Amino acid sequence: MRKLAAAGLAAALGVVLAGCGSGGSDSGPGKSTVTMWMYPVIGDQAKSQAFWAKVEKDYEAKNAGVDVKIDIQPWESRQEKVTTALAAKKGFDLAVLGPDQIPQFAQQGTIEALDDVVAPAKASFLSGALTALTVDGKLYGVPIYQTITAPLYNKKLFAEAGVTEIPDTLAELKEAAPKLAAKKIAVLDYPGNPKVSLNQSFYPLLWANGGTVFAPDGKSVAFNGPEGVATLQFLLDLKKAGGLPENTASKGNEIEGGALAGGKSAMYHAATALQAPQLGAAIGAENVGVGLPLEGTKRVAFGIAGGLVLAKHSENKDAAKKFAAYVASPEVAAALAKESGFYPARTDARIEGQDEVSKQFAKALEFAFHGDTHPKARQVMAVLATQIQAALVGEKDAKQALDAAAKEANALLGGA
Amino acid sequence: MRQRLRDPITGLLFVLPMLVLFLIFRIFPTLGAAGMSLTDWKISGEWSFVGADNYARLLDDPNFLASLRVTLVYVAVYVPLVVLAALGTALLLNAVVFMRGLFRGMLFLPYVTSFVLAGVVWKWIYEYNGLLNGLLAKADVAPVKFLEESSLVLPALALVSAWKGFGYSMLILLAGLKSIPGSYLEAARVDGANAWQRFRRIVLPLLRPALFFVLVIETITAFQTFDTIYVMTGGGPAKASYTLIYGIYDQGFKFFDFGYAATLGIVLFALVLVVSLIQRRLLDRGER
Repeated sequence: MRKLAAAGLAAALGVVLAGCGSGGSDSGPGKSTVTMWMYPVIGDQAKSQAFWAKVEKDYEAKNAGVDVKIDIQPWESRQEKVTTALAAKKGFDLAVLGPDQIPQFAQQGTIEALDDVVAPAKASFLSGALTALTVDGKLYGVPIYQTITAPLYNKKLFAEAGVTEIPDTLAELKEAAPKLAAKKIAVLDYPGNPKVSLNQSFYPLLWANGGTVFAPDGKSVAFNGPEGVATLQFLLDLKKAGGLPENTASKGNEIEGGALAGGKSAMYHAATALQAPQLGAAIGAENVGVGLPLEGTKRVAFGIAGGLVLAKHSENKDAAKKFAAYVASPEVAAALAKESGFYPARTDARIEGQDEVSKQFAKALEFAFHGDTHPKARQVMAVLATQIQAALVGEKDAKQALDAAAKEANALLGGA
Repeated sequence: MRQRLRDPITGLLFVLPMLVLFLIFRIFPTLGAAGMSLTDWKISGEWSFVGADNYARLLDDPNFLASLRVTLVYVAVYVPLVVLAALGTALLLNAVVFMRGLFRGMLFLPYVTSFVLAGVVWKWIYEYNGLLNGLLAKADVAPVKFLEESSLVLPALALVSAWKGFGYSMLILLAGLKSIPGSYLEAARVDGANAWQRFRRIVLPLLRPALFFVLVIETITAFQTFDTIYVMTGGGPAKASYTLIYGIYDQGFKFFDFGYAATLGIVLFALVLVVSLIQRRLLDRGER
């Protein structure tokens, strides 16, 4: 009986230990597998799945020796998941990253340079997109789309508050705040939750005021200069005038279920084209307005090229590069742009039947700025977001908050 | 003699699967983290030995000291809350006969709900325009910024974690209550002891082992709470809910400073160990 128990336990142990082993590739003999982490670039889940399934199928039909796996990941926690995958040397061969995320991985040597992928058609790509995805002279991201952000308005709320001209500048926005506040409407739907990228909250306002996140040499931060302080003070003044939602410090930038969709706030300054139909569904498409980026000392809109990066640990680099070139091809890029509402990152991709909202957002493309790229951009963002939140909840004034963030960020940069 | 030898071997075989899993998933990673805390481990896997530098950094790191304070406050709020909730519901369940299984199932339900889901739902409840403030408004109470007031955020988070976690402890305590012989309580009742005296003098002392287990488990849980905080506040507002474990996450996955993240992990490990030993000693002393 004991022998039987011991044998049973040994068998169970074997099963347990086998479970601890890593799963191998099951793509069949002679086939190389390329796994790509894609994100909800196409907002509609069903359309997104159908689009990428077609890309996968079409490519595999033309390339019999390759098994492509497109894994649609959520935007949330992208940084953390990519970091974990690269650290574990598992997960993906190709993944989509933005220009402010690429330098850190390039510096760490966990992603591959991809100049050879775009070389045959380099002139066809938007030069801004290539520049944004280049680190130390090497291209680390193959541009597959270009995004742009622009202000999204609830026209009805402005009209009801007696604001006939939709704010076009930061000064006009401030001026409109009390009029809307009198009707218990926040003029700006500012998302102060630290989990929201500052590229879609604080930075566009900072850039419009002429500020930058980093000093030109990249060895220290510059956001606590006069432009930065003026930007944060602008937000605090808006808050004082009832121009920000009550929960501005903790709210995210989701349209659905948020104050903008609920008719409690009037505009979001850094929306994407994907968010326009969501707002339309909530307040009526006829009430949705798309503007040019708000002007301070200049107009700046956050817009980036989405770049396919190749993990250094990839075991099928050649196959992955070939697939990246296919995804970036004019046909796929144009189809992706049409489905997603984003824009192609190349000039030879023609989009047929682009909708009205996409055309309005396209007007902001000329003001596109890909953000302050730096290997520590995301880390600095995390530090700064927390301090901006401290100012928004009234624990610090603008200067104190930015100085505190600068001190912490400079320590991260190992500089001043 | 042979029989004696064989028994320990059979016993060892029985615990071997668990022992192996424990070694692989607990002991080895802990040793690995201890080693990593002495390095400047990079995401690419490169590292160099830096000795106790990471530990020296702790003393000058304002975020570490602040997160330590937040963690201890959170533990101090959460542990009594969850133990009282578990004890209260366990006593009620022990007393109830009618549909006990149903009540037990319902009370246990939050425990099997995902932390992330619970966090999202409770975030809606706590929001400025959320359910709780809607109810307060009906009672003419001004809205409360539960997740934006530094003084309210930790109790608000502790309440969510306690709601989510008390079910498990409740079952442990219920099992403890069931093991108390009814004759003891009956004898006390005959001797004229009232309900409080029976609870204080009989139930509580006999429940001590279960209570100790619950206290240790819940303290460790409190030190390790991450999901709720991540979903509901992201460590905010202004780091008012930035716990030590959140700091580990930030250092590792945002700042890529795995060596320092491991150092914070070791500090957390030491903290949990010391607190558990103190708890054990205090409860053991009471038992003697």
